[in-house]
Amino acid sequence: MTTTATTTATGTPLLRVRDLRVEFTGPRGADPVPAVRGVDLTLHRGETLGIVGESGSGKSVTALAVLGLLPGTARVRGSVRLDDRELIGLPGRELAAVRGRRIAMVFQDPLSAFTPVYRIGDQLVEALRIHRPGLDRAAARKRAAELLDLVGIPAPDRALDSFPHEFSGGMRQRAMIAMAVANDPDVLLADEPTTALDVTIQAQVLDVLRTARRETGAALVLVSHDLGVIAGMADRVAVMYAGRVVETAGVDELFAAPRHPYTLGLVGAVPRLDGNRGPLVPIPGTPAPMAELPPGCPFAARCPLVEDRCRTAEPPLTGDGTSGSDPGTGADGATAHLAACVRAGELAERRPAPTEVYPVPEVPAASAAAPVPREQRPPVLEVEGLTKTFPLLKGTVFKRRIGSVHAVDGVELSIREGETLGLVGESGSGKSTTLFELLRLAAPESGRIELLGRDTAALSRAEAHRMRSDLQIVFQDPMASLDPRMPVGDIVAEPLRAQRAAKEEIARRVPELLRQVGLDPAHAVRYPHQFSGGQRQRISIARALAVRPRLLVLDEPVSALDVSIQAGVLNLLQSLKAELGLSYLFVSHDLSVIRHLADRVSVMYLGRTVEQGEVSAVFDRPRHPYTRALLSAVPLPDPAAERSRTRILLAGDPPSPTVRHTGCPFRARCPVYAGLDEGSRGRCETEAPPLTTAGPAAAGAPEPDHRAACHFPEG
Amino acid sequence: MTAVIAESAGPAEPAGPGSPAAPAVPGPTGRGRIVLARLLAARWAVVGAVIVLLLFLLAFGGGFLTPWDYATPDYGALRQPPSGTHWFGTNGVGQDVFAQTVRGLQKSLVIGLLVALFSTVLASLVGACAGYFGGWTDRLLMFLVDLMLVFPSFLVITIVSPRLKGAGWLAFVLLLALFNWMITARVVRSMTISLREREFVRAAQFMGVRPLRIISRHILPNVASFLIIDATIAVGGAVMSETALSYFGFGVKAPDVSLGTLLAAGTSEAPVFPWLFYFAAGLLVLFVLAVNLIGDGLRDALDPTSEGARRPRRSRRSRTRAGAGASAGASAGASAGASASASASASASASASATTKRTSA
Amino acid sequence: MLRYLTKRFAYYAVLLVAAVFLAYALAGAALQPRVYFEAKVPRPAAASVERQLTDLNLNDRTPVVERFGHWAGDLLLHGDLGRTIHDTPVMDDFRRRVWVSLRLLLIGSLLGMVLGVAAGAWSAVRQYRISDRLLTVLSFVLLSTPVFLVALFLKNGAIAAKDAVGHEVVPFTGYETPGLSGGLGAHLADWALHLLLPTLSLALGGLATYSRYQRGTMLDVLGADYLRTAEAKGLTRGRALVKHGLRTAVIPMSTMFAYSFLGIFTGAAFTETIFGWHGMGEWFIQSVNEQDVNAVVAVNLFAAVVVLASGFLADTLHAALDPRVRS
Repeated sequence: MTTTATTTATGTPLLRVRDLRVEFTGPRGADPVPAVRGVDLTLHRGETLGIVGESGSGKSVTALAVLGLLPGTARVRGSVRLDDRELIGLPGRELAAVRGRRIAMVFQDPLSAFTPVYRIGDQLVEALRIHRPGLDRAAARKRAAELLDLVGIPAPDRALDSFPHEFSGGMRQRAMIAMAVANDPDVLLADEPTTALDVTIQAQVLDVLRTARRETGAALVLVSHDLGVIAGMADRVAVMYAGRVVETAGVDELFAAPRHPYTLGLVGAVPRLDGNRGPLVPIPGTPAPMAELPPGCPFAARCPLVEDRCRTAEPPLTGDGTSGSDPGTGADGATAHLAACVRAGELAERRPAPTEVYPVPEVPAASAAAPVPREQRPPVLEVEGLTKTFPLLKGTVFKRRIGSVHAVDGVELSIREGETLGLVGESGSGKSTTLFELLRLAAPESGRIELLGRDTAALSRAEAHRMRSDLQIVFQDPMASLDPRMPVGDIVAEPLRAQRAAKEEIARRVPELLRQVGLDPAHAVRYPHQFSGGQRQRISIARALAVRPRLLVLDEPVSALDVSIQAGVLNLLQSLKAELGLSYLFVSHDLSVIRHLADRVSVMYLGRTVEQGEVSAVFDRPRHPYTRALLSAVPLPDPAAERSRTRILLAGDPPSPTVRHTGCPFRARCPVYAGLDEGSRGRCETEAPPLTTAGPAAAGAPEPDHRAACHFPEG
Repeated sequence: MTAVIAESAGPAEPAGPGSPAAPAVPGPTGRGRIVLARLLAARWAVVGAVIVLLLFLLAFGGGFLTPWDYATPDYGALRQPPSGTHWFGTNGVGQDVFAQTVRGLQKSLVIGLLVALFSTVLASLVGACAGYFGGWTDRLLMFLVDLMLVFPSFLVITIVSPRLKGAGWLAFVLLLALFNWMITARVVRSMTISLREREFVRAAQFMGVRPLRIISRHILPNVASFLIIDATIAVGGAVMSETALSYFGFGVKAPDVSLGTLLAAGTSEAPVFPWLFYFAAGLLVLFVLAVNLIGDGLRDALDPTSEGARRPRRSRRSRTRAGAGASAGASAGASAGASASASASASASASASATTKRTSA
Repeated sequence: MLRYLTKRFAYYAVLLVAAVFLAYALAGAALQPRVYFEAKVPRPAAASVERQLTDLNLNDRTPVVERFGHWAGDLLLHGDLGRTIHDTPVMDDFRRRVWVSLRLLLIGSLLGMVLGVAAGAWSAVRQYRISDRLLTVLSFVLLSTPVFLVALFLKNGAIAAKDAVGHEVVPFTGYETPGLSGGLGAHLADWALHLLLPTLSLALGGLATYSRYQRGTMLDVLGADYLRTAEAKGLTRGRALVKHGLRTAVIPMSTMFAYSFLGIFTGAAFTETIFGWHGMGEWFIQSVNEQDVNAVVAVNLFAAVVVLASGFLADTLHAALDPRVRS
């Protein structure tokens, strides 16, 4: 990739964006709100440009503005030139001829991006025939099938007749890419193309994107919030903040020696799969509201290196820390390193680590250093052989059962006091169902749940009600889990009221709890919508802590938050745990977060636990092929490491949980199984592997706690 | 994109754990104040509110402005056009049309308000219970709703109303309310079903909060904005139903006067003596129009998904919930489409509720 | 899909039976045919009243379930709806009037729907322009006017026009000119002219309702991702709006169709009475006043069938329009 970048970087640029400005007009009488405030970008043939930034940074708006796809409330100024043709202000019909033909777009959410009422094939054929009116239907259909084949959709002829809702998320995104490359475009704009997907599917789709780029030779603009994805895909990167590019450089240069404090903070805020478990770098505050940007540098309020001059004038995007170089010409050199910071030169020279620049909170070490060994700590939660089946219903009025969904089909969990167990799995793996089964505090369909030494099947209703105070949950989306019509004080008090706590107790606890999670107790009268995402998640945590639980279930607690905010919440969770002696069941799809926070980890696939053990053991010496694939799919925010790693790509989607599989449910996608001889395969096909400490290959492994459900485990 | 702007306009994130955030929020802005501000921004809603207020003043204070009584005839003035003495003229027996109109307006407004109140309360109770408890409760209540929907309510009211002669207009109010709640209940039910799956309701369940308390503390407050809008429009609808039924002699009956009875009395003479018909007709249309304007303004102000705030809302990381929903809801994965269409028809019936209220007479 | 529709159909059948029984019970209990006979001048003998009531299956001394059984048996076995209080077959009136009403209902509702959908979509695309605002104001005024008042305004207008010109411009009573001579063409023209005002009074309400609602769903669709995709593929805005936008935005209208029929039916009853159409609505009001139980039940049956048929049609339409329901 780097080679293509350097060879093609010469010559005239394919796409030049100069001083792009976008404003959205508000409701009547309100001032227009800027979204993009003077962006310059240059794209050469065959190159991949990554645009990275948090929500509200204007990165998606920039991409949409290039194609003129913004809604009518947007006012776009500046210049977008494709070859030498100005696109801004082009009449609708001429712009339409460019769209899809010269510049094509891949959108974020592939479900809503397809028209629900037309077949995939018809939508592909339409894309082809718009730009080639001479193409007859049959030929277009044949070409559409070829395109689906190119992006790796099995049985493309059948897939053409499917409706979008019949596809899985990964398939839809592939079809989306197929549609984008249908007319061999020169530029592909991909707006968060993998954000809604699981890691293994993300790896597949990124691979398809690489293939598509290679096949068409198109230049790619990849918009993402994920530094790992950017590191693995891009040749050059532009970091956006508050509607401007604040830093741009070649990908290696940018990650190795960021020159803008914001970039530095972003790099430090990401938990790393290969990193240490020290505290993350939270960037204080939230992005400045675009409607009322302060004069001077928009990042000044959050910047640890802020000086007086930052607050008066906004620094221009300049090269090499020296002023005077024209960003217009400078940006044309592909390797130019530009930053919009008055202290960029200093940072370029000093090359500090994020922790040297940002104040890092004091976070007590995780219980890895706990004095008591695991076996001697009392168990908090023990789950064995848990299953849960849902009826598969059809029909709207008269529902009839047409089968079963084996959502949870053999889950084992074990948490001891003061421990964090990370529960990892992709969507549909049964993580959430497992949680809900635990939280019901009732007899499971089969298997055993023991909470604090009590079998939940034996609890009376009153006992179960009392036990709810030992077990609390924090949900993924803080906006959805807080009643929008309740003041925060009442929200936090609700579990106390449910446990019939005394009024004085409630009045005393609520301010205490809010303070504990880093919020102002005076804000108890406010409503959830008056808080930012990170603050809402803190409210959620305060509510869960109200009844002094012993075990806190955290269901994807940071996946709805921006990286810089996420770091603060993760740090809070870590210090609360140490302070209050809590145990966590931490559910996440993000392996980096698990690695950062958890002591032990349990990996689920298709409703089963396939591997579990100490975090270091599982992450460093994974035994189950699924765990290995999962780990290799996680993008690292380190371009050099990304290039050098070998990736295990899993084939296809997870199979349907409506079928009860004989043998190993993973074998259809398993790279190990694919490489086995006939005799050994038979074992995988007939015999479901139990969760055992040591496979034959690893006899005598010194990790009695590390178990995997595979007949042919590694290590 | 645009949603992102709104998001970033939120208050500041605290510096870190332990250090309470400096309140960067610009002053306390309660939800009520936001709603009020948005309502005032909708100019037509303000116009509607002013009209309704004036009509209420007229209905309840108008009688004191004229010496004439609505029933007492002035034999010296039969079928007189509007004049200084009789502002809206007189009818065939010499009764003052202004006094009659004011009286009729009063009755129609009271009936409209009461019907809207009763039917909304009934609808929210039935809808919330059916939606929250599901199962047989739901099936039974929804069968009842469907059954009552099969008849245009006016047929039943027409059949029953002759037997209610003695019971007076209050019985008529109850009857109207009894046939006016079904579509609203359906909407409340489908809203409740989606609320039931929301995390804050699940959180409350996991905290051990009792079902009826969840309904009253979490469900009903969250459908309140719909109920307020719906009830507002229902007032207009009820007034239309009342006038229509009274017009055909099945509603308010003599000696009581309503806009409907006035219209009925004036119709045949309308081409020749227009004041007998058009004052009442005009006030009726004006009132319902004003109520509808308020309802529409309220919708914009209360409902964040309505036109006023209608923006493509795309949560950037809407991931993972898909998986959770699919496994928790079991059938969700199989019938994602069905649920999508269910929610579509929920919103369809939400509007249907409003529109049938407007047109049911 | 067929299964889905079969189930819906079965559900509607159950509803229909329950609804008709309830209507019968209600009419049987609330109406007083006995009073009607007793009020005749000269007052007939008690025994004669009793016999007439029994002959007509109207005797309130027979339990209502038994009367219903009798009525339903006749209906199912002989297609007989009983006899009116004037001792003529209900079916005769029914046959004569049903087409009068259906003509009005079908044309009125279809016209309202088609015009409303078109106006709503157009209005949404031109949001906040003058044309959108005008249409909004117009539909609000229409929505705030009860159908009977619309009908009265139209009729009064026609009368005023007649007085001004000296002869009838648009007919405003009945559905045909009595004793009209001439060929089929003349008759058709006459029918159409008579249809004009009553249909308009029904269609205007529907137009306002549908247009408001279609405008709303269309506005939702205007912000949809797939519309952006369609444009990103290279479709012009206009084609994307029609082919991808309107096509999807029209789906929820099928639900609307079922609900709005409830309103239309009621409106039709008033319209018929006002314009002197001898249809089901007018018959109903007249029968209630005459305490004619069997006629009242017949109209109720008709109403229930019409409402359920429109519901079934809406379901079919929904399934046809939205592949997500089908699977």
